[in-house]
Amino acid sequence: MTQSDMKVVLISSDDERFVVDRKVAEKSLMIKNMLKHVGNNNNDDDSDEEEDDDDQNSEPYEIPISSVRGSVMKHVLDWCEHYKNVDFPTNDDGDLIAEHPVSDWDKEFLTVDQEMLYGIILAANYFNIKPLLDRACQQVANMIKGKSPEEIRKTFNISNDFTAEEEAAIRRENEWAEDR
Amino acid sequence: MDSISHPFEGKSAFDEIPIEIWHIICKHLEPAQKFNLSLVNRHMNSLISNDELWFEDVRSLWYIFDNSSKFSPLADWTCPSSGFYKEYARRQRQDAYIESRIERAISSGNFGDFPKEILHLGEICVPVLVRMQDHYGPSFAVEKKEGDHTRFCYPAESKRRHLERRLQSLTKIYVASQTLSMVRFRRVGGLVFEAFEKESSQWAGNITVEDMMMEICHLDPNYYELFAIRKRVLRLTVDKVKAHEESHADDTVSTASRVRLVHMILRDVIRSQCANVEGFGVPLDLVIDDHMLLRYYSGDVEGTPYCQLAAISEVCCELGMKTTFVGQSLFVRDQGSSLCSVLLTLQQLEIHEVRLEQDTPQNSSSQELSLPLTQEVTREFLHQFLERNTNNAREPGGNYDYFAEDHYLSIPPSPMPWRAQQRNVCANYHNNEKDMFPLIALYMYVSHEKKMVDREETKDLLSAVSSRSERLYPHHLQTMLSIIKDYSDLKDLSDDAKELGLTNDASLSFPFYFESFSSYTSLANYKFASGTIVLYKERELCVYLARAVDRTNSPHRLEDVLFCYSLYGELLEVRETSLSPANNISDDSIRKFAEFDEIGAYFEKFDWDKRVFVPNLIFQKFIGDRLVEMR
Repeated sequence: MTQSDMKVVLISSDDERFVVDRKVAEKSLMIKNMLKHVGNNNNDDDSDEEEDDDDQNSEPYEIPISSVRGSVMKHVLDWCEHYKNVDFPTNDDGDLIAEHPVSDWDKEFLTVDQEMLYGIILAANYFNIKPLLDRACQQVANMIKGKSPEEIRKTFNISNDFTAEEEAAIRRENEWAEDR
Repeated sequence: MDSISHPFEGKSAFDEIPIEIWHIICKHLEPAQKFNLSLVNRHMNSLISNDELWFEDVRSLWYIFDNSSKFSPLADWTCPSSGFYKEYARRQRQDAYIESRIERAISSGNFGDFPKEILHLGEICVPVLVRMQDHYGPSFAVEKKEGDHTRFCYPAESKRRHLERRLQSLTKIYVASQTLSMVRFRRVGGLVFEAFEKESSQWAGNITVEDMMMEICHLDPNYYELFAIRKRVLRLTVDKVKAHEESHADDTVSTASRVRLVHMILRDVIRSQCANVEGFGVPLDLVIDDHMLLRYYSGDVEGTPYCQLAAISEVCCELGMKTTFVGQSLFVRDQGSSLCSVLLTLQQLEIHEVRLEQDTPQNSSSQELSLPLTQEVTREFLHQFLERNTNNAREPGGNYDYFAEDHYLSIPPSPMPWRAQQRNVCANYHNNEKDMFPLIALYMYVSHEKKMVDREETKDLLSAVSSRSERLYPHHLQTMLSIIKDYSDLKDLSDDAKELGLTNDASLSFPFYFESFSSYTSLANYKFASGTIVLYKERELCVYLARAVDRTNSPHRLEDVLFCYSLYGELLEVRETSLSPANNISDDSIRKFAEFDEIGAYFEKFDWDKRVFVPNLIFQKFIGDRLVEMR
C-alpha cells in the first residue's frame, strides 16, 4: 500500500465512520501532522517503531474526532474532496499567503443553515483547514454586512442584553458608524 | 466536548464563536460594520473592543513623519495600547461618513440636502456646504423647506449645462476640501479626482478642455497637496488631448490648443507660486513650441527665479515635457541659486535627465546637453556655468578657480588640499555674499560622498559660508541643512547646526525663512521647515514657525501651530506659550486654544467624548513618539 492511496477513517462524535483518501484527509493540517510519522514508516518500510505496523497494513488508519458531528464532518470532507488537488500556499504561521477568490462552488457549498455554518467554522478551525475557515468566516461577515444592529440580532437570533443607557452610550460613541 | 459538538443550539449560538474566529470574520468587515456588531449585545461589545480586531484598519490609516520630513505610511508597526485604536477608528468612521455624504452629493449633483449633522462638524464641512450653496445659490436653485433642512432644487437644464455644473461643483468641493486636515484632504481629494476621471469622458464631448482648465485654475496652487493633484488633473488633460490628437488627423488645431493650455497652466502656477514672494516675482517669458518644448526666458534678473524654476521644472516633469532653460539669467547673471534649485528639484523628483540649452543672444547656435544627471554631468554643468561666469567681468578667475580646476567632484584622497582650497573659496565668499556657489559645490560634494566626508571639515566650511552672509535666503538655508543632513548623523545634526549658528541666532536665517511663510504658504517649504525642526528640537524655532504658520490663512492653522509647538516636545508649555499675547497669536487661535484646556493632560488622557478636533498631525507625532519609545 503506497502513501497516496492509503485510506483514513475519521470517526465523528456520533460514531459515523468516514473513509477517505489520505490526500483528502490531509487538507486538514491537523490530520496531516498526525499522519506524518505514519507516512514515513510506510514509505521507509523499515519500522523501528513497532506500534503502527499492524494497524496500517491490515486496515485503514482510524482517527476518532470527538468534537465534530457526522453531518458537519460530511460537509467538511466534501470540501476537502473538491479541493484535494488545489494547493493553498501558506506562510510559516500557517496563514494563507494569497487571496483565493471565492468560487461559485464555494458559495453553493456555504449556502447552509446557520447551525451548519458554525459547525463548519468550528470544524475547519479544529481540523486546521485555513482556506475553508476563511471562506466560512467571510460568509458570516457577508451576513453581517449592511445590517443594522437590530437586523443582526434578528439574523442570528440574539437577544439584546444592553440597558437603554448602555446602548445609548455606545450609540453615542459610535454615531458615525451609522449611515443616516 | 459536548459543548463543542453542539454549540449552536439555543439563542447564544452566536456568542459561542471563539475570539480567534472573530478575528477572521472581522478581517472581512469594514469599521462601520464592526461597530454595528458592537451594538448587538454586551458580549459582542466587549469582543469588538479588542484592539487586535482593529489592527489592519488603523494601520492603513496612519502616517508618520519620518526623518526625511516626508509623510510615509507606517511600515513596521508594533501594537500600541488600546484607546488609540478606538479614537482613530472613530475618526476613520467620521471620515468615511463625510466622504460618503460628499460622494452622494457628487453623484446626485444635489448639495442642498446635506444632513444637518455635518454642519456640526464645523471646520470640516461647513465650507463645502457654504460654497455649494454660494455656488448654486438662489440664482438658479429653488429653495424648498423640508422639515429641518432646506433642499435646493434645480430646474432641468441642457446636458451641457448640467455637465458644466457638475464640473464646477467638483472643483468647488475640491477647493472646499482644502480646509480638511491632510489625511482627510487626501481622501476627499482622491474621491473628487476619481470623479473627474470617471466623468471626463462625458465632458470631453461637451465641455472644451479650456473650460476644464479654467476650473482647475481656480484651485489654489499654493497648497502643495492640491498642487500635486492638480498636476494629475493636468496630466490627464494633456493625455486626453494627446489621445484626441492621435485619433484626429487634423492635429494643428489640437496642438495649438494643447500648447495654449500648458502655457496657461504654467503661467498660472508660476504666478501663484512666486508672485507674492518678495524678490522672487521676476517677470518672465515662456514659450512653448509645437513640439511641446518649453523655453524659459527670464529677463533682467537681479533677484533669483528660484521658485519659478522649481515650479516650472516640477510641472514640466509632471507633464513629461522637455524643458529648456534659455537665457542669460542661468549662465551669466544667476548667482547659482537657480541652478541649485533646479538641481535640488530634479533630485527630489528623482529625475535623472536634464536638458540644457545655451541660447544667448550673442550665441544663437544652440548647444544641447542631454545627459543623465550623474556626477560627470553635474561637473560638466558646473563647468559650463563657470565658463560663463568667469567670462563675465565680475571677478575673473576669482572664486571659481577652485571649481575650474576640476577639484571639487573628484576629491583627492588626502583631505588637506581640498580643505585648503575650499577654505579659500569660502574666505572670498564675502565678495558676493548671496552667491550660492560654494554651497552648491559643497552640497554636491557631500551628497555624492555621503558619510565619507569629514565632519569637522565640512562644519568649518559651512561656518565659513554662513558667517560671511548677513542674511541667508531660504534656498541657502535649505542647501545648508541638506548638507548637514547628508554628512551628519541625526544625533549630531542639532549640535552641528547649533555650532554653526543655524539655530540660535535669530537674527540670522530662520526669522527670514519663517517670515516668508506668511506670504507664501507652500506646504513643501512648511514640511521642510517642520522636518528640520523635528531634527533640531529647538524651542525658539518652533515658536517662530508656529507664529509664522499662525499668520497664514491656512484653515487648519491651529492644527499646524499646535504641531509646531509639539515638535519640541513640551506639550505642557504649549498653552502658556501660545496664549501669551506677546506671541502674536491671533484671537481666533486663542479662542480655539481655550478649548484645548490643559492641553498636556488632554494628550495624556485623550478625552474621547469631548467633541474637539484632535489635530491629526499632533496626534501622529504623539503616536510617533510613543512608537519610538517602544522600539
